[in-house]
Amino acid sequence: MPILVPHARLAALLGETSVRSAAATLGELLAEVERRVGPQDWAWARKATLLVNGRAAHHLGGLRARLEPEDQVWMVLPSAGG
Amino acid sequence: MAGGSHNRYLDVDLGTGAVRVRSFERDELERYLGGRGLGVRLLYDHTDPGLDPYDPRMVLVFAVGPLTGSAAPQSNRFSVTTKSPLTGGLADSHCGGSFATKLKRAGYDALLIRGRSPRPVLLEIEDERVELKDAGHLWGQGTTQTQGALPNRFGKAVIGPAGEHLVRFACIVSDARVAGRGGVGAVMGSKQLKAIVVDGTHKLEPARPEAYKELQKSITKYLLAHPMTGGVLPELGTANLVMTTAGRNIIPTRNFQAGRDLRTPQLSGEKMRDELLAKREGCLHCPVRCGRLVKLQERVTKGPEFETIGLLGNNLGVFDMPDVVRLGELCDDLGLDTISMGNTLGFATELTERGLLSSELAWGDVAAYRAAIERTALREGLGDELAEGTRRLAALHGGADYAIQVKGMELPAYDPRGCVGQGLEYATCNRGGCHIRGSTMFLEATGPVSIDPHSPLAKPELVILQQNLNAAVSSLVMCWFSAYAMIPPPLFRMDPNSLAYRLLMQAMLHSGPIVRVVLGLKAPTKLLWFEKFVTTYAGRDFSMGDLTELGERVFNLERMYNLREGLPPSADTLPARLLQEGTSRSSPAGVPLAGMLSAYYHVRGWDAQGVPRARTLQRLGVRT
Repeated sequence: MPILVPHARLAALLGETSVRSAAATLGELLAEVERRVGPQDWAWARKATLLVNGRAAHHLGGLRARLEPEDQVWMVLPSAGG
Repeated sequence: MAGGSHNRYLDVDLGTGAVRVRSFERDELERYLGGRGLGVRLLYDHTDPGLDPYDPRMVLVFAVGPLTGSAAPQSNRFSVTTKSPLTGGLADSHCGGSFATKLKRAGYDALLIRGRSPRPVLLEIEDERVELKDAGHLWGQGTTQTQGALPNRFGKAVIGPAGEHLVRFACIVSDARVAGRGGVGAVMGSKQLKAIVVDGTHKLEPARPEAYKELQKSITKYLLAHPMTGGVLPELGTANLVMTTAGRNIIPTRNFQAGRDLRTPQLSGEKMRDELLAKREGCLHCPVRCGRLVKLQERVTKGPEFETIGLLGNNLGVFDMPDVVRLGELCDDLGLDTISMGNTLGFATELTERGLLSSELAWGDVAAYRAAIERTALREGLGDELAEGTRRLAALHGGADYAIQVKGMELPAYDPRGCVGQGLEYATCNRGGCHIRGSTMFLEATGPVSIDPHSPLAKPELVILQQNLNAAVSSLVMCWFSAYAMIPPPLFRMDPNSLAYRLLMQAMLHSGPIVRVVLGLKAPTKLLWFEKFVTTYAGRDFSMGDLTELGERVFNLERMYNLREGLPPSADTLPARLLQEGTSRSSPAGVPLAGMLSAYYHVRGWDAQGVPRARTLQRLGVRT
């Protein structure tokens, strides 16, 4: 099953660092998460870069991107350092 | 005294004991300012071509900048420049802590060390008093014990056993900070110089005190309010990068065989903050405080930086943060660069796995890695081979295609297959595989801007822009992290999934021609705090155009040094694994380097073979 790895603040809200899902598309997967956290928190939590296997989701069809069983979806926030 | 510089440097010959205070008589300070630029100028002028890094005639240059000793945020740093035992080309490495300020207060803009002492020595500088003292009792000691044995009032720069044993990636340690890259510690060891301590009383005053004070206050306030320098970095340290690089599939995993592991989040900055953090710390006068002190059972110790986590942790299959803390601490104490050490261990582990090397190394085996690190520092057994770095290890055992190095220096913790501009930056970096000479990955993959990290469009131009700016900032010598605050805060508030954001990124992806124009401009404005600080503190009217031209000049002189030393342009490449193999179904290809490289040479004003054209050098006033 595809796995979603949420950013830290969303993970704290969900109470887990990864979510396994049977969703067939990215849109379905995110809808599942939204249902769990509620629309109010989802409004800020979703403002993260969505990456499917390291590639920005909008290059793969956005919410319509199809997910394979081994796929990993990560939500990341801006970072810096060196 | 006002003006940002003392206009003199100390020239110490460890072989003869001769000490000279020298003025900058030619264009050194005028054209190269300080730090990295001044370092390469002095290296170029004071060494004959083809000199071995360990030849007694090789010089080791410690340099500060026009803002060192001021309270300008992130300005109390020094550079160390010499010839790299890893690459055979330029090595320069930078370090925070208090040493820089003390060297400046001693009344010098640089310290040039030449010769080889017949016995281990300590160089003690206090204003005009310069003494070489016996360091026999310190030889063999770790950097912690060595620094502890020296009086607290001094700024200190020391080597550990790795430097003494000429490990090619030995570093120099100052307080808890490290000039890590390129083997500068090995060159110091070759001179039998165990430590430098320095203090002084020559305080410089700002040239325009009121304007400087106002600027200092306003920039500190800006940095503290910025989402990067006032948010993510102080909150999570550089380990904030763990989750983003894992999400991007670019954190080294089993010697760059993959871009993450499902256990990677166990090494995140959030995890360190929640479970281990004892205190945040920072360099002198730096408001950002990105350093970490962590609790480790009964004691408090330095927390690992992102690169240490990436290379000694994730890359080796070590997913327990306290284990990574201990491995990093061990490297610092022995005086080893954690990036090259972790990368070399990863390569050796893959060689072992493939049956090409006989060793005890195995992914995740902390005890085996710990033992290998200790043996490397002392050059014992297999450690003698590991001490040579990946390129030479490959020459002995094979595996050159997956020895993850550029020009002989091991790559840091960003896999360029998921940030191809960073790949070009690695390939063209004058000191070899390095991320902090432009940090193009910040514009592609890790920062608030994401210019398609898999596309080569606009990357040659952006890499040059970043490299030039970095060369200028590190000649000032300011912390490169301040450059992250150049991205305006409103960009951080944009939803990366919004149409507006995607349109903006598309525009940036096609911005190459505009960036080319910008690169050719000599803007008379004072746009950034860098040139404003030079103007108000050092009293030199300095513009944005001066800043970028300085960077370009420094970069080109470094290139000329490398060419003089026989480092060919064909070394501007990446290992085959990164050029030919993908990392996942979504990133099936390697870095498209060839096309980017030819455009890069052209925009730089170099010929098709990668040699700076005479007119380019003339325009920049680069004397060779």
